[in-house]
Amino acid sequence: MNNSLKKLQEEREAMLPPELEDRISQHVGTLSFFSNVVEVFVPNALQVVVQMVGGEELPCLKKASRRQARANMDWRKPPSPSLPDPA
Amino acid sequence: MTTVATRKTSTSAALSDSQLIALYLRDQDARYFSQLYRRYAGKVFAKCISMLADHGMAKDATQDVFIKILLNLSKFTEQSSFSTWVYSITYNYCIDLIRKKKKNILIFSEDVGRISKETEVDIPDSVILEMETNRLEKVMEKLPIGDKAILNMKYIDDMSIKEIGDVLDKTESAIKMQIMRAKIKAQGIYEEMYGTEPISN
Repeated sequence: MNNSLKKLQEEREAMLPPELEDRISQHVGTLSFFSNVVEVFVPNALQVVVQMVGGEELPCLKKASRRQARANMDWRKPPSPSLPDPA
Repeated sequence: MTTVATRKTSTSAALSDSQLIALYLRDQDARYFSQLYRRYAGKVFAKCISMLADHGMAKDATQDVFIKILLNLSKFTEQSSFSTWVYSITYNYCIDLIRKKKKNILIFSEDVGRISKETEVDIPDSVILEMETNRLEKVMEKLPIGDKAILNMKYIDDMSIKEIGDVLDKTESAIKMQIMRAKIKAQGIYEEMYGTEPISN
């Protein structure tokens, strides 16, 4: 059996305006920018508020600051020995 | 750099919808979403034109539907296929749009007096499927938006009665009845417009 509804749908699919893809990818870019902004700045802003009211460092930021300390480690200095020297 | 980007795009074309969604959610790389857009934009746009009968409105609706998809991508649970999920967002968006624009509009054709008669009559699918496309386009324009959605879901998207019911939040028997009413309505509109001229060429 013919399916005129499917034929009509195929004719209409070909009418998709090409500029729509650019408009949507702009939205995708904007959304991903704002989600990055939220991810980077919101925990820090919260931290400031928490410290202003006399609270401690947020646990999620504690981890990040330990990671930061490791990243800033001076690679030229030898690491301190964790085990006592057998000699 | 360009080679890497080209490779990424050509690889993403071979990925399934679920893989593209997982990669987009993991990497937030717009190229994965673009691939999904290329797969479904034409179909979404065609459905919007069919439902809204206006090119400009269909264009804006397609954009809004894709933004909705983007914002809710993490909520897609794979209980249905991705295409069914995308189409259900499209149909519901268009129905809501029309409902907001025209407050007292009829969403589904309702003719209580004909129910008992309808249950006895089985309207053949050829009433819709074998109609000449130009005429079908005009007949579809005159149908209530809910009827258009139901006919599209059944005859274009090949969705089951249960899936249509889930999309429109109606029971299976209500959907069966609505399909029959939509076919009767379409046949009536055809007869009003073209008299007794045969439906198929």
